[in-house]
Amino acid sequence: MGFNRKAAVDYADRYWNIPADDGIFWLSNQGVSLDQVRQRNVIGNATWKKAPAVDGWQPFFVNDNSGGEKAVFRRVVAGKAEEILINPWAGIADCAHFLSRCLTAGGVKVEERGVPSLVRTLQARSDTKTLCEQVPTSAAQRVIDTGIFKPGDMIGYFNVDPKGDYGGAKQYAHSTMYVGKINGNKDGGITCHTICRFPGRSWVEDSWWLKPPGHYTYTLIHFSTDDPAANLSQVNNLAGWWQLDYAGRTEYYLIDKSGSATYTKVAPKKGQSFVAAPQGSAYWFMDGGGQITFVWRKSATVEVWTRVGASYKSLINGVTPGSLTKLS
Amino acid sequence: MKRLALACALTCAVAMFPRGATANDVAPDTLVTLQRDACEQRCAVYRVVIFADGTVLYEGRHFVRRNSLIKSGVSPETLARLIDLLESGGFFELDTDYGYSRAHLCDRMDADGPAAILSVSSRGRSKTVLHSHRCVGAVSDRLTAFEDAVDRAVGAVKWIK
Repeated sequence: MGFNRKAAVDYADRYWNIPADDGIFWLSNQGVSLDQVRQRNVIGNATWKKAPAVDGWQPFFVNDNSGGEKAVFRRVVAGKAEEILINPWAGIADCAHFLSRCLTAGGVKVEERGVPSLVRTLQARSDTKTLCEQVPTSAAQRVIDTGIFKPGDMIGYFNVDPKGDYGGAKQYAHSTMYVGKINGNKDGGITCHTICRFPGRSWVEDSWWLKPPGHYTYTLIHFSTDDPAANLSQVNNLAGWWQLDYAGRTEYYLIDKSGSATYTKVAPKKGQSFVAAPQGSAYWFMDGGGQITFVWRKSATVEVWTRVGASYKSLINGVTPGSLTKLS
Repeated sequence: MKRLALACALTCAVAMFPRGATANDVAPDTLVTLQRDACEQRCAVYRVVIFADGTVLYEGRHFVRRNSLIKSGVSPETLARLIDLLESGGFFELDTDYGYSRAHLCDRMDADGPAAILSVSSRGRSKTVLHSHRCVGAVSDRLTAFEDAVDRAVGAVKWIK
């Protein structure tokens, strides 16, 4: 079964600022069952009080007005809002869990609560393609702007800030689900927990990049089951070796029928069918008009091949033209 | 770069402290507490307390390597140098809040950053400063350097990273 993007995004729309449907949210060191914390002080919070659902208490993640959020029970009695703190900002870490629930709602069963493991799990799936990996903001934006990256696809945030997680450890620190250029978000919006976001409703930045350059690099993971089918006769012509000449350089592409490509700076030998040590790898996508877009994983270079007779011309990152020659 | 230069200057000041701090320089009422709070990028959340006799208590809470209570210690000389750095650096003359109710003391506010609460008592004086690392500015840089100096004095890195 394919990934139901709409179901995943609809789920996020519903649960973006409340704990997920399994009744649990995660701290860095424990899961918190809402059923339990309504009745018992399972976190050891000094201000804990009972919050029975029958008395109208509902869980939310809300702005703590100090740059973070807090988990609370709220209710309104006689027009007056009441609140019980479940957990303050320190320790809330529900992003991977929330995304797992979003994906599960979309038919992709994932159960992860750590960001590094979520990213690893998604990258290892046969129905995903990592379009680019740990690239800077402008490069990832280039990929997003192709439209290949769609609502329901996932973003991993790799910490490069010395003040970031685990004392500045360089690792995946956050994860979100892309929901598209909606509700006035021009770069593309995301949804996530900790801090909870959904475009148009968040109280913090909800453009996909989240923070100014210097905090994160980005990994874009695309579910590929609903990609447009490529024209078969065109694919047969595309597969094999190509020579690209651009900006005084020459590179050699080996293109696979299944949608991937590698490149090398060394001219292929006769009969060569693989690249032992490629300079880079890409996925390619063909649209209905036969235009092919390559997304190179390491650099997030976006290269578009447009048909010219039986061959193609190349345009790299929208600015650098290249000429193409089919070798075999 | 300015922040780096300031941190280097403070580090050098500690290392080159001219009169050779001794145990006698540590007042019996000395108490240093550093509490680091959360940020969206999973900043380390922990607390460090240094007592006048050099005893150190570390309590790791979230996103740290050691998620527990640890007892350690620093030498009287190290503690004396730290207190001297804080005193000579003007810690006791600072405001009590940078980046929360007094955001006007910052040049600007970043989108995200942890909070740090540094409390120091020594020689009858006491000061607690609430510092949001979202606060960008010269005084915020000084505070960051003070907080980092506390971490360095107790060797907190081994519990955090």
